[in-house]
Amino acid sequence: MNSSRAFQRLRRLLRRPERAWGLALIVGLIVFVVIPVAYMALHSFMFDSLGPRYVRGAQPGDWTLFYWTRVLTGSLSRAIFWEPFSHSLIIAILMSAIAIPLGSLFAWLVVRTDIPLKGLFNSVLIIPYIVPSWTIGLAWLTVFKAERFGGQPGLFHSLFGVDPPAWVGYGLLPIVISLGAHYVPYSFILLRGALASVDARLEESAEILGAKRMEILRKITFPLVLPALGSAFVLTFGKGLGEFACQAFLGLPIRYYTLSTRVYSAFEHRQHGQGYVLTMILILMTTLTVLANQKLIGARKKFTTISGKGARHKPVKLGAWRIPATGLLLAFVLAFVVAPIGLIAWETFMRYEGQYSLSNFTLHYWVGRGDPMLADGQPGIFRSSFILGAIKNSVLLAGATALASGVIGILLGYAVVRARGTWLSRTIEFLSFTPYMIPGIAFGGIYLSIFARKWGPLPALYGTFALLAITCVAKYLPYSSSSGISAMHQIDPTLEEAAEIHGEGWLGRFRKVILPLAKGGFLSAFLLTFITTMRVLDLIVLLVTPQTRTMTSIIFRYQQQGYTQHAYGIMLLIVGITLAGHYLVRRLGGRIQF
Amino acid sequence: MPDIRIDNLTKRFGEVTAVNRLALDIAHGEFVTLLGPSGCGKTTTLRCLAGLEEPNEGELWFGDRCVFSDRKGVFISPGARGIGLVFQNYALWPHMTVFYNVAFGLRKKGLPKAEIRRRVTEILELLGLQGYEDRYPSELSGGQQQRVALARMIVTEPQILLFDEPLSNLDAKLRMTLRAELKHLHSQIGATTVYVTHDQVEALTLSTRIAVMNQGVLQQVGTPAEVYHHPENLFVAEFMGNPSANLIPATVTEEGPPPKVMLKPYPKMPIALQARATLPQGKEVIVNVRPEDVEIKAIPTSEAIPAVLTATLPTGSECVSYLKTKGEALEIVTKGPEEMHRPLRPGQEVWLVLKRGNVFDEETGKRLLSFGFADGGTN
Repeated sequence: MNSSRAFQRLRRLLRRPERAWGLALIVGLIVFVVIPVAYMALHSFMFDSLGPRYVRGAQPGDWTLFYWTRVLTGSLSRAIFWEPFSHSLIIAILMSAIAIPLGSLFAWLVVRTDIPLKGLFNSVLIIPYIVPSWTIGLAWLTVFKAERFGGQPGLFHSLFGVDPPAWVGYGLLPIVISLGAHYVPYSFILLRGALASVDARLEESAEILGAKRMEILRKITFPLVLPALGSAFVLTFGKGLGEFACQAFLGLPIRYYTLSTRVYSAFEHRQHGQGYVLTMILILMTTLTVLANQKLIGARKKFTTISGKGARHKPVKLGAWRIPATGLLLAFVLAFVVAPIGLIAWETFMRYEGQYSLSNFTLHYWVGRGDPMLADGQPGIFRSSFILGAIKNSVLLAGATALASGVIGILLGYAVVRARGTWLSRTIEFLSFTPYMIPGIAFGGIYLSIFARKWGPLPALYGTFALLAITCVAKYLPYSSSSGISAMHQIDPTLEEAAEIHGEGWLGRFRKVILPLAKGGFLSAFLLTFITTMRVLDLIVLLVTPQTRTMTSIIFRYQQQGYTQHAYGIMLLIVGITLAGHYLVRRLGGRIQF
Repeated sequence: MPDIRIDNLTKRFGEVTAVNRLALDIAHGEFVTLLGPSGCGKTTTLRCLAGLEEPNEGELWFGDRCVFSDRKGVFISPGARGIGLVFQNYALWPHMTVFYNVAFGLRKKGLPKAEIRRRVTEILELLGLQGYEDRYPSELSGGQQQRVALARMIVTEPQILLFDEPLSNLDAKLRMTLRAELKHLHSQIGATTVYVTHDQVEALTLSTRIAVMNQGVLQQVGTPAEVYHHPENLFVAEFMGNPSANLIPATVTEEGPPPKVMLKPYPKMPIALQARATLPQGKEVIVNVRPEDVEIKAIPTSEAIPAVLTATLPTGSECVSYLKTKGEALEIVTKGPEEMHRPLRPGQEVWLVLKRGNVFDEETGKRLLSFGFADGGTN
């Protein structure tokens, strides 16, 4: 009896191989997600290799609270932690204060009013979020940078002859403004959806009962979209805490540190113990925001009203406000979409930085052969084997990551959806979501310390292209699994069973039924991961080596070294690629990822 | 030898027993319907037959071939069972044309191309789908999709046909047409058929036999007439018929034959039940009478129960009336040709005669006897 039970079980496993690869996926998730986090948590209580330099007689690997006390209460804790911590909080709060009111206002204007050019705004207003978070930051620098902090004068200087004050060019103000603008599309998209899903009849009922337009907005519409608004706030706040690149570009030149740039410099200076502690704190904070968001989603579900094919909203007439409202939207688009990209492009055509005249125009930084007087003789982007190598690396990395993520996403989605309701399904879904709670810079830091060494049969991966790909694939698991799951939800299990009845094995079913039907979802997930990887910096900045350089990593380096035109040229390429990729995704009917 | 033998079939999902020790033999060429409310285990049974679920216990035999046995460790995969299955949602592959949907099984068998084309064309013609070969399922109406699903099933000439609520996604009119087509198809092909539905009209019109299930347990197997007129227990009595049968609590006052009962809503006069069997004196029973077996009289007659009409619902061909018995008010439903009910007004006092029905043991819910039937109620 017992052996036949075991036999039955084995046969079931073979008939339903998703269980087998579900188990394989869990092992993979444990290796690449659970163990790294656990490793880091454990090692924050151990001396690292630099430990003996700080504490006499300390042996690397000895248990200690040294790093926790150093970061939280030691004499340097103010500089190491408390100041960056407060900077991060202030940045997150202020940029949310910009992004959310603006995003919601824009959403309301576009969804509910008679504002003109809706189609244009709908597609253009999300561009700040498609391009890298530091696009606006870099453009900001072209205007407000100061000679004092290295480099050449900006547009402001060449117009007025003086440097702008440092606080205008660097630090809190520009970080808040450029990140705020970057995340406007975020609440715009969330609120756009929420506003569109409010049943018009709910508002019409209030209107019939004699409520005025503002009253309806305040008493009916606003409360109904409040949970979505809460979600937008919490998510924007969390993103702000974890953001790295913009905070690095605009903060590091004046030593304005935040939690994420502190994590970066700790790992960069091989102070791993300290890096672990800071990373743990950062992860803790972003995890709290994610948990808060899930509470809000719960609240949002409660607010879901039963509605059939909801009546269409009749657009609110803006009347005299129509022109100023349109002007506001156009101004935003001009200031945060057109101007940044234009300024970055312009920068690449300037022989000498900061001289805004036609005589200064050059294609040198794109196709020049190298001039010892310019950028230390670096050839133009399309002639520099170093840069071309980085472009190749970036495309390869993005392609490999997107392909692997797509395949894993489909397998994951299949295992989760077909095993719905079992512990296997729940475990995979939960584990694959975990990387969402770990900011990119922290994720990179963890992988740096884990894969710098050999683990049994696994060789040391630091410095390899594979490590970059693995890191990206692991970090993007939440997106790949959710797109895989939603793709699989579209495919009714009976479609597969119908093939099974005809004697089709699971490989055949996968090939003939699942893959053709999941193709569209797979393609748009592939493109989205591709553009996300093309623009990624925080995740890989700690992991790249000169051999595995990417476009983003050399922008980071060139920006520090003052090869501005080269950096901006590569930036322009990334912006172009991400916009083109996004356009394709839209054509395929895909959606932007959060 | 039966064509399908279901022996002690049990299927559990975690804590829930979906099918509980089900035993059923189905003869060659039969059209057996598994009927029951949702969650009764009928679809699970069908999926076990198809091999899409693996049962926990029991055996399944197709002819002299064992396709599942927990003791012998036998499990034949769905593709090797020689069955055809039509799903509730048809499960047509949206990325394949009608032709390729239907040809799938033949291609899988590796038949030559010309042969496949010939057979697919033939089947599509049989089902009135000629000219639709190159359409995609999304370009077809619900009824056409249903026919494609049928074609896909029968083109491989399976020995056993399985249907999982195939008509429930269609509108009422189309359902009627397709019922007739299905019946015609079955008589043409003659394959043994198991058909799952929760729609009793479908079960009654299509089946040679009906198996009524509830909570995973088989309640009764019989011809449509047997199940409808002589339900074996209260569940079947209540489940069959629309509107539901009247259930009137009563006490046996005379053993008979013919036995007499005192109806609780009208305890003034015992009523004799036209049956040759006897009932134990003093037994608490439930008298079950279908709406169409209650006759409304405008004037009092012997053994008639007084009642007040509360509502009439005419549908054109017939009329359903709701009444309340006098005294201890109990709702009684009647059904009959519309003309009979027409002169009646709500609030009017009428008299009800129970023409025929069944008597159940109140305690066990089992049928004790039938009364008023031409065969004298021995059944």
